[in-house]
Amino acid sequence: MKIILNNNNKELVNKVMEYGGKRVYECFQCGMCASGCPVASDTEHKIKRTMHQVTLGLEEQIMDKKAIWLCTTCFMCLERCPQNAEPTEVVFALRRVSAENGIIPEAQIEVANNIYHLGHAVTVEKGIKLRNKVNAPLLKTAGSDKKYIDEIQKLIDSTHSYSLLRIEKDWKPKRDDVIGCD
Amino acid sequence: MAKSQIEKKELKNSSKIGVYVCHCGTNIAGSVDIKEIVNFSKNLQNVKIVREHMYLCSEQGQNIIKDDIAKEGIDRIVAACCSPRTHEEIFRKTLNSTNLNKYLYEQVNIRDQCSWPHFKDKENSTKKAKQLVKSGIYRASELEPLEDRKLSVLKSALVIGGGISGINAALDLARGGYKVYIVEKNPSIGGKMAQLDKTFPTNDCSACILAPMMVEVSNTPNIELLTYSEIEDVLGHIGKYRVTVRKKQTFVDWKKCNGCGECSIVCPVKVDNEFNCNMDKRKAIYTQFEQAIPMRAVVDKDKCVKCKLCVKKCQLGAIDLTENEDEFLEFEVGSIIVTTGYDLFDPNIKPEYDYEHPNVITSLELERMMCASGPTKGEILRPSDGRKPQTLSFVQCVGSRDEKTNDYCSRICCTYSIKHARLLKEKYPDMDIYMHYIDLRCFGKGYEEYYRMAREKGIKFIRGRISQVDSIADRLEVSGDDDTLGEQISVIADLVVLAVAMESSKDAKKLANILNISTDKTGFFKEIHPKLKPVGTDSDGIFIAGACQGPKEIPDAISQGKAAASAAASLMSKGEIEIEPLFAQIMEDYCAKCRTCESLCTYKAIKYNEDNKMEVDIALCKGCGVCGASCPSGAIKSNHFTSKQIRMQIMALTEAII
Amino acid sequence: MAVTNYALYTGCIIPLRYPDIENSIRETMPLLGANVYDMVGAGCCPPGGAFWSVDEISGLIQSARNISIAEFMEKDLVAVCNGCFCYLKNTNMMLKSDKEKREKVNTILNNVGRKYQGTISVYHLVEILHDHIGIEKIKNSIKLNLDGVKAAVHYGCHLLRPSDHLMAENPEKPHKLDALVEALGLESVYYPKKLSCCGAGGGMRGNNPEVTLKILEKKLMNIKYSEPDCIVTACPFCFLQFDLGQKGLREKGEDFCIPVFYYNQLLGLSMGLPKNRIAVLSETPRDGFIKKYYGVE
Ligand SMILES: Cc1cc2nc3c(=O)[nH]c(=O)nc-3n(C[C@H](O)[C@H](O)[C@H](O)COP(=O)(O)OP(=O)(O)OC[C@H]3O[C@@H](n4cnc5c(N)ncnc54)[C@H](O)[C@@H]3O)c2cc1C
Ligand code: SF4
Ligand code: SF4
Repeated sequence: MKIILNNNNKELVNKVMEYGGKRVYECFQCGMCASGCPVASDTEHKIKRTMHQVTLGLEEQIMDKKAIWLCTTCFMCLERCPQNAEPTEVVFALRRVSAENGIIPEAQIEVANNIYHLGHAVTVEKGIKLRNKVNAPLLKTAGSDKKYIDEIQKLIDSTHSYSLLRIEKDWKPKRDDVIGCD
Repeated sequence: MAKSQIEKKELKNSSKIGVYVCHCGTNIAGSVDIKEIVNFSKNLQNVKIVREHMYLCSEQGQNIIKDDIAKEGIDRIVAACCSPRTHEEIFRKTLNSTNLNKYLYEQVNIRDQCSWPHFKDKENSTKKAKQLVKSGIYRASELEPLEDRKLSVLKSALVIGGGISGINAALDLARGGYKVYIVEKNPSIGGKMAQLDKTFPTNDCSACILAPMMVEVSNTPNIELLTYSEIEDVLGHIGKYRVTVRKKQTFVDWKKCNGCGECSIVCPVKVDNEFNCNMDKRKAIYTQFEQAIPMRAVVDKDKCVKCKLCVKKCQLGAIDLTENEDEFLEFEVGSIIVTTGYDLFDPNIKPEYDYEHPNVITSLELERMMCASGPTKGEILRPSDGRKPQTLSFVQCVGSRDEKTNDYCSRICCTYSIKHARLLKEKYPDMDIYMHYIDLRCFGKGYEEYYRMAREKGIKFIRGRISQVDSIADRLEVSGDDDTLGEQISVIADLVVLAVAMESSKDAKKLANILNISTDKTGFFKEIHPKLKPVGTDSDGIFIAGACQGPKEIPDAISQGKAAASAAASLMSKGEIEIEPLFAQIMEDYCAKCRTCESLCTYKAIKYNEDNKMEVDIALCKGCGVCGASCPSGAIKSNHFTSKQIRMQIMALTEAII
Repeated sequence: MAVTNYALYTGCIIPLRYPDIENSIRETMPLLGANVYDMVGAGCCPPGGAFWSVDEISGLIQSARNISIAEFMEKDLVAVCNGCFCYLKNTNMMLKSDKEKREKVNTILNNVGRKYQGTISVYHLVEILHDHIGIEKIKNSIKLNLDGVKAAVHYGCHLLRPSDHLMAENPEKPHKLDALVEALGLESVYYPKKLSCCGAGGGMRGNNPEVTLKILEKKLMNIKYSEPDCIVTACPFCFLQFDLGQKGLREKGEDFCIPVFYYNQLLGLSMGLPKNRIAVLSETPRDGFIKKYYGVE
């Protein structure tokens, strides 16, 4: 599809820079990021292309495929980028933009709700069973006591993430699996 | 059988030849069987010693040769190695340090002629090498000792072209005490650099760094500045060139004129101003630009209507509109430096870029617009309506890296476009700037950093060559491809800047003919060796520097100017030079004075003199051998290429090798 | 023996899915002179894929809360998961140097009676073992040497990168975990793309079970290249990916069958600690390995 650039759309790049992708302009399209990216060959997440799209202001194209959510945040690109353009930070920034637009994958919402309600990313009940099985000492982390969970809830309540991550007041964990959003 | 016995007899029996075969690492040994060459050579007549060496040109290699001369009594040397162009000098010097005459040396190039071209076929490559080595050995038997000749050299130089390169060459020579003539075709020196606004990689103002040098030129007593002048003819040879310069008529007495400019104010005739790329007008009487050196007026002969308003206005009485013949000046110099710079590609040759559209401009036009003293006083305005453009596209490689125009890379357009984009972005932060490139070649010191800063300023770089420019309402559609996106991309721009290639100057060919130097296939002057002799030409006393040799930026143009000055100075400093005795000799007794040779000599080196004899000017003679070959009486002997020597070579080459 | 004390930050996966790993840490470390103490009330780090991905400040606040617990204990924090290490250390670095962010974070933390002060350091368990305790001490502590057993060491992304924040290792040529593994007598084998991702992070496991397995499969193919007897890592999330992921691949007909260990599990076994407390929970069988090399059922 032909792309027509007819207005100076700096909105996206400005937002990305504000949200942490400060060095996106450093990118000179060498492709080192994409060549070491673990997901590039199996997904639509093409980090070099994304970097370029940001500078050209092609927000729709980036958001369209939701590919930024396929980054494993392995930081390989950030580590190796010869211009320190910090592509992973750009991915984070784009996710923040995406979240603002209401586009956010289910797993992220699940994990966030788990944390909000249980103090942990995974269900605690199953955890305690396993602990008993291996004779682990009494759980003392946030999940062990309502008062710590209240604390965490209070903190999340005072940030945007409460609404961005669609925290629900009545939440039943959907699965015992480790969803994992590291 | 009988024939070859007769020929064998022709070989001098007295000589003791040492043959040295070089491996040159694997350069030669990789595809020539060195052992076989060695064994083969051993059995040839007159050969006393054959040795092989990994790197014969090394000190160790040369010492072996010296030892053999001293201890073994070797009196002819044949080296089978690389190119005499680069290495003959080393061997001759080694011979010179012994008591053996340096012309008793023969070099056989089994690298360029055997191992390199036939690297896939060792067997035949070795066979060919044997044949060549044999011919070298046969020839060596016939070599004769020769003595170098001395030639006196004038301590003055001519610099043709007063751009930044020429200015630097001239100043360096003048500072070293040489008399320098600068011949510049325009009314002022300064060249293209005078037209630039700011210069990469430091962005300092071009005029500010150029003007002091120009002033120094005019203040240096031993520089004679001849502007508005052209080379008419150059005769003579290294050490002593006779130069004729045509001084175009200025109609203004420069001894009286003080460059006040009153004349231009009253002149009623408006003419396109070349200095501002024809974007505004000058008068028929004008000074070239504000910082011109010399700051003198000239009358544009073709445009002047002879109203004489200027004549009346000039209080110094400097103007006289009567037409005279151009003036001719003659002088002699010891060496010549050519620094005639470049021209720019004419974008009309690529109509797909619609250069006819007022809002499609070249980089130099943009440069003039950006300049505070330019046609728009430093403002960037769309020529069509004088409005400030919002979106600007730079189209790279216009007339370069293109088989249809120039296939070479113009080297500096990437960096100058980046400069333009950066300066514009600094001045107009809201301007949307795109650069369409195929490779960004920002090769110089500090240039990569310069490019990085452009990205930081938000200039958008899109890889993909522009196919065409179309006008859409009052804007322009720049149709390109985005390599990263893998999609067609169009930028809707208000102004399109074509980064036009540097080309050889239009009259380079003419000057090359006058000077007897070569141009390469791109039209730029040709250096004698692209790596080792970047400022030398095939005429020994003539050097080239700056953009007349190939596209280059100011730092390189200056470096070459200085390099040429140093080459010229080292040539002139002793007042005399040694030249190879490889010239023709007339054997008086045989000469029938038919003068065939005189008419054939390209270098005008043979003349019929006052004593009714044919005389060879050894400074002019290049030893090409045309005279010797054509002489019906066999009266001409070409030193070091005698008939006998050549016959021996041919004999060796035509004899089958077993 | 000089004793050092640390605040043990366990995160989520270790205490709630692999408590046997937690046991292995709790039981091995004191034997090496490093006492670890519970961080009471510590929550999720939180993960980069969720909170950090939508709003930096909400990531910072939760991390800062966790760090403040260790600060209260006046002990340096030791993270036993790469993800926790990466985000906690990152937070600690950022808040130590950026006053503006620190103040912003503290205003919110104040509402729950906590304060980030910037008084402690964040370490990865590998750093403690390698830099603080040292290879010699570990060598001397083991009862059984697994000489000749081949291990494929997986560092995991967030132990190494971004290196200018984490500074735990040379990001392109790390050696600490290899050295630790070799201290137990095993040979740490070369395999291609050793430093690349296991494919779990960033929300990938949760969002894209297909892709996550594809990436893991590539990783395992590379590992298989050097025919190791086991995989060793010091991150529970990578552990989980190798452990559960191999099960996932097995179900798709691709059986790699390489036992996976968290480093301290191997360490504990080598020290002679009972297997049933420290190396029980796994989906990819490893009892055979343990029996073969440690001789315990
Ligand atoms: C748009 C543009 C921007 C540029 N920006 C930069 C920059 O920022 N930094 C940088 O380093 N470089 C820049 N350059 C390159 C720079 O212009 C050249 O490197 C430099 O001018 C070369 O100097 P020169 O002396 O070799 O040639 P020139 O500047 O071309 O000078 C040659 C001189 O010889 C004279 N001449 C020509 N023929 C004859 C003849 N037959 N007889 C007598 N005189 C003759 C000419 O009139 C001229 O005065 C730019 C070039 C362009 C086109
Ligand atoms: S490695 Fe860095 S400079 Fe190269 S394309 Fe990726 S982000 Fe751009
Ligand atoms: S951080 Fe994301 S974009 Fe960068 S290499 Fe890893 S997966 Fe790819």
